[in-house]
This record gives sequence, C-alpha cells and structure tokens, in this order.
Amino acid sequence: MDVDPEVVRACQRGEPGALDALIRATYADVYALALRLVRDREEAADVTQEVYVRVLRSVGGFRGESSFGTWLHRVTVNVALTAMRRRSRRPMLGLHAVGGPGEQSYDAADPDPGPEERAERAELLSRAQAAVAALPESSRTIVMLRDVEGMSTAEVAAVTGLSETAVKVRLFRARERLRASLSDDTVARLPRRARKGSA
Amino acid sequence: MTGPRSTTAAQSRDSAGCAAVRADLAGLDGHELSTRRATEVRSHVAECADCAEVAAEHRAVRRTLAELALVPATPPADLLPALLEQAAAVGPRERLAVYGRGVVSGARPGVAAASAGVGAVAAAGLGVLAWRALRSRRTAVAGESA
Repeated sequence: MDVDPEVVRACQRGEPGALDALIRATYADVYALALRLVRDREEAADVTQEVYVRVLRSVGGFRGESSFGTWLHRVTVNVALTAMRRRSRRPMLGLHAVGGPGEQSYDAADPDPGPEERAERAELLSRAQAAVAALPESSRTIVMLRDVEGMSTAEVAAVTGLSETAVKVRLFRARERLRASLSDDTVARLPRRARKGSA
Repeated sequence: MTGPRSTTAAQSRDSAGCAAVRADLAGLDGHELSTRRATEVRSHVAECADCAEVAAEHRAVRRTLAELALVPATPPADLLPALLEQAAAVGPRERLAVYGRGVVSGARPGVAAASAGVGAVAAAGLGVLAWRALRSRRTAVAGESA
C-alpha cells in the first residue's frame, strides 16, 4: 500500500479533504487484504470501515517509524483477525468469494503473458486458493499472513498471539500440506519460465 | 516431475537423513531455519535429487502463494461512498482530538514543544498572579490587625 506521506501529514493536521484523499488512495487495497483474510465480501467491507475508524483515531499518533502503508497493513490485519475471532464459524465460501471471474487477469512474472499462459496462471491461482481454503483456519491464517502477505514470523506471532515456535510448526505443516496437494497439478502446470525463476 | 540431477548412490544412501531434511524443507526458503540447519539442509539438497525436487516444489508453491496477494478484488460499489460519509461525519472535536493525539504522542514534536512552552509560560503567569493576590491579601490582613 503506497501512500503519499504528505497526505498522511495533512490528515494529522486535520485538513479538510485529507482523510478523503487517504481513503480513496488506500481503500481498495485495504478491502482486498481484508477479503483475503476473512473471505466474505460483506465482512471485508465491515472490516474496511472499522479500519478507517481506527485510522482516524490513531493517525494523529502515527510517528512515521514505519511507512504508513505498513502501518495500515497491520491495522487491517489486526481488525480482520479480530473479526475472524469474533464471528461464529460460518460455512466456508467457495473459491469465487475471493476474486470473481475476470479478477485474476494479471501476471506478476510476465508483464505481457499470452492468453494461454494467462489462463494457466489464473487456474493455478484458483487451485492455490482452494488449497489454502481447505486448510484449518488457524493454519490458513498463518499461511496467509506469512506467505501471502509477506509478514515476518515474528510479526505473525505478534498479531496472532502465538509463540514464534508455534507459528513455525503450524507454518511448516501447512506448507507441506499445500505442497502435497498442489505439487501434482499446480507445480506441474507452472510455466517453465516461472519454474526456472523460482529455482 | 523429474529433478535436474541424475540418480546417484548418494541420494539413496540415507533415507533417514532425507526424512529429517524433508521435515525442514518447508522452512528452507523462508529463513525459518537456523543458519546451521539451513546449511545442512542445503548441502543435502545439493546431493539428493529427490529432496531437491521437493525443495523445488516448495519454492513453486510459495511463489504461487505470494502471487495470491496480487489478485485484485473489486470492492463493492457502495463501499467508497460509505467510507467517505463516515469520514465526513467526523466533527471538529474529533479532528482536534486527532491533532491533540499527535501532539501528545510526539508525532508532532515541534507542536508538542511549542505547546509545552506555552503551557509553562501560562503556568508561571498563573503562579505569579496567585502569589501577588496572596501577598496583597496578607498585607491587607496585616493592615487591619495593626
């Protein structure tokens, strides 16, 4: 989440319109992150609203020790985790709850993939989402935070309230399970270029 | 999927070693192993085609997982208006509170220092006034009793 520091400073000064600018610049990313974690569109929207309530309360105290984007990411993760803890277990949504049709039309490895490769990657990501969704919730959250969101083990431990050792144990088990369930098809379907790049 | 290395005697010599290494391969590229253990695992992987294949699978899966963060999600159309409305509902008192928290937390050190200075001057002024009032009252009481 890239945020212009001047917009943040304007929010801190309480300038009219600054918060609007901040919201417009960040809300889609906040919503996407919330949706990846809570996997429910309505709940992700609620989480997004709660995030901005907290932003409003706390932006004055933001000291810029980390980037505002990193701070906002953490606030979002915290709010989403709180929502997940609070909610009663709901039936898991299907894959299309996250990333509907036509929402996977990008390619990080190749800026100009051909249609075949594009479709291949979309399918691959779909399978990966399914495999992650099939994990137990506690493991799924850890995999999402560590491997999808790129948080450090220590950060994951801090936001989940687990020890680093417990995080690693769950992470290793979950990764092994994902590898086992995806290696037969996902890895085999990886474009050759991607496999070479990851080696 | 076939690994890049041909089968060697070394790769089948130690299935127990392979089992231990496999248990740690999930943490090899995420820096979750100690430096020493990571070195051991890497040197095993360098000699064992089967474990090298599993390590490659882990890397490929993690790469795919990292890409999940880039999958765009379209927010509902009514979300932005709702957020802007929420922000617009913030009154002057809350805006002042945001500003005040910045001063108290030290996020705005210049303003915090200025506020502290103004506060100190005001406190000193009040002290002087109180002292003068007290002194004049004492003088008056002393005059009456004399």
